[in-house]
Amino acid sequence: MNVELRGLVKTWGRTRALDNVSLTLAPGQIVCLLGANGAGKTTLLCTIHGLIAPDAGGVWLDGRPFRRSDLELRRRMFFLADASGLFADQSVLRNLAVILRLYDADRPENEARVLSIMGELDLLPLAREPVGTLSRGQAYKVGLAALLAADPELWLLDEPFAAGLDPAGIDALKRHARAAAARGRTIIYSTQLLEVAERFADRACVLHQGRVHACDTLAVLRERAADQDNPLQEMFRKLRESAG
Amino acid sequence: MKNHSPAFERSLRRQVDAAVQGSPALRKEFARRSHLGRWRRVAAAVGWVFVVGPCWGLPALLALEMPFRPAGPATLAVCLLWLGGWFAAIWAEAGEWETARLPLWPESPGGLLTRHWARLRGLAAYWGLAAGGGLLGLGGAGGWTLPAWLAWALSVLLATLFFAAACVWLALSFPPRLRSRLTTGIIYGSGLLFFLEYQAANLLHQPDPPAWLSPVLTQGLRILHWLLPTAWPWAWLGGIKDGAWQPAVWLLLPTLGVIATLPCARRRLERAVGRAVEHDPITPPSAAVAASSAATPPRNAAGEISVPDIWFAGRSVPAGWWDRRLRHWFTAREQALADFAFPPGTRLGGAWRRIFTHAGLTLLLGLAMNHVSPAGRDWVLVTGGALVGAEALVSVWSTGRAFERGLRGPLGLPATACFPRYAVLGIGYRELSRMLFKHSVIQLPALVFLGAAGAGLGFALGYGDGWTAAGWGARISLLCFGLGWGQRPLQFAESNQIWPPLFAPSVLVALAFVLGYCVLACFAVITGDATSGRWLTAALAEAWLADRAYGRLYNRGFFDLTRPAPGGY
Repeated sequence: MNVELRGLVKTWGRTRALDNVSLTLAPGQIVCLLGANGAGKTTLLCTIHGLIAPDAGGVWLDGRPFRRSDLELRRRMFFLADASGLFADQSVLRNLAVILRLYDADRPENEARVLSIMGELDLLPLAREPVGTLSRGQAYKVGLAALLAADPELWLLDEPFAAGLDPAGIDALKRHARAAAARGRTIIYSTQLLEVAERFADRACVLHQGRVHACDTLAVLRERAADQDNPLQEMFRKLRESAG
Repeated sequence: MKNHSPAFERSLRRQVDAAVQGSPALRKEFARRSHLGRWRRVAAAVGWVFVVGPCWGLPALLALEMPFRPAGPATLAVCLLWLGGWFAAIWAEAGEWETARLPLWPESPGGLLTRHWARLRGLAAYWGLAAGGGLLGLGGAGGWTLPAWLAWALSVLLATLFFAAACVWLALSFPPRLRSRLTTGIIYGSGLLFFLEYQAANLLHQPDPPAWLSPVLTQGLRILHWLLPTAWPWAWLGGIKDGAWQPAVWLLLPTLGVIATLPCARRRLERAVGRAVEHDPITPPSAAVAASSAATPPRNAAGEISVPDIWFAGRSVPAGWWDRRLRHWFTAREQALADFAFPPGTRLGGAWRRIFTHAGLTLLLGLAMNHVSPAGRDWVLVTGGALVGAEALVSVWSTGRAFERGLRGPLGLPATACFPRYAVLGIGYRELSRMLFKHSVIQLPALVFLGAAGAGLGFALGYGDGWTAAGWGARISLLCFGLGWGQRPLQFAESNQIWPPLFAPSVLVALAFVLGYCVLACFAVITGDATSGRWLTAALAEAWLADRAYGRLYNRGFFDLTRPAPGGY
């Protein structure tokens, strides 16, 4: 899915969480959003998903202006923030069934895929457990399983590598994300882990005080940096120094 | 409509079971989870029975009472309790579902409405069954005829439908602001109007009412009967006793009205979602940054948070005059401890304000009792008592937030202080307990509220003397205080403190004991039984013993979750 952000502005009180953010993200890319706490990463993800309406600017998906009421477009994206979208008193299976119904993906031909994903994420023995009784990482896996089973065109992930996933879960997430990108899906995630961003992204967008400071491939960012080995580290250091 | 495809879920479950059975490792893990989960499921199921049990027990007791007394205020109290709890539970569930989860998923407001209904109808049906089943006892004792049974069944059915639809309507209409205060306000407001209505009815049945007043009152009462939920049970019972069908007709019209206005609610939801999307600050960055910097405690040279430094975690100190006066009673360390235990600060004055807000109506009604007829006193106090009961019932549900800490006062305060959380911080049990005790005593006015409820029940049982009622109030206050402290260890029991297979049975046995004791002691105290003094003494002694025993375990590090587990599990 082609994502185009045009002049997004969002303010919370006197703080500009998003300050004229314009980006174009082509299909088949894994994009990571980097930035200090409060830089606007989550706000940007929520704005793309329609949970937050921008004060100015807009989001175009595949060339169509996106509105929250556009259910067809909303069914083509999936926002995995944490386990808050799940139903704690219902079992893992019921949660998957409910979410897949919402995405119109609860078809018989999808069952094998769901089963395979559950097996990959170690969810099979937990299938009958209420989500509320699971650990944070396990609950996140349920959401991740729903995302993988729904196979949306646009993945929006908020701090997926700080959600309590175990190594197997992280590995599955990375593998599926790469495969999805190869199929033309667009994956946008936020993270604070520079090492992860350097290894698991086609493009890195650095947000600073609501503005896009840089958004390019890692190769380009590396070329620009004096420290070739740690371009992102260097960029963050400079941003902190300039802010100070 | 269902929120999911049962066929899809069933088929998936079959395949999951087959996969688990086919793999020894998965089978082992499944068995381990099931073993742990079994106790959890049993605890949840039995715990729910314990929670709702009193609801079923009261009608049975009333049914036993029926041969000796006609259905009267006590019956109405039960009806009100049911309706209040029912209403608040469904509403809270609706709000929780709507505001927290559904906006994340791709669904239109119309779809939300349908899914709301699918979600709530089960809960509504449960309450319908509870109300219908519980009052079977009343009907049996009252010798109802077949038409009376049918009329009652239809009334329950329609009441279920009405309340579920009304809750969906409210949830859709006020999604961002589903708060218990509104529920409380509705219940109290309705109760007050019901009281006025009853007094008007008394006036109407005077031997010589003014000629001009009679038609006004007659028309007014008819309208009030239609408008006030609290008046319906009374009307139902009165009607059903004669095998009449008017109650069903009364219910049918408002039910249809609510259903007819659901499209309006949907439009309101659309606007509300629009507003929420525009203005809902999911993560206000400035606030988050400010909070994180303010909450950073000083560290020692090794970079560890030392125990005394935890007090610097950015607590707000209440600045009101009354708060400052109250805080003089606390030592500096107790103040810091209280601020830490009840973030964002003790706010004792705020608790008092809430107490007086809620207790005020009850007290006013109590004072007004001197000026109403003896029969009216029953109704007034029982209405108050039933409303309190409805709130108390809601308070034990995780979804219900009707009772806040300040309102629950001494009964609920111990529940909000999580001892195990502090066990690793090097805080002595004695100072923690002393602080809690002072904090509880400061909120003693809340007991006036509970006392008034007890007095209401006393009046319902035929004890009409003011001093007697005051005595009940005092005794019930002490009883609540004792029970609140006594059950504290039970509230903090965690599965990792007790051997897991023994956890659920031990907690349930203890819970059964506490509940049984509560019921017996309450009855003894309320009825002014000669043994009530002993019950009270026993409750206070049990509280003292539980406090001591818990403290002993606490000081021995029994609740320190960082210590090696006993028995090696």
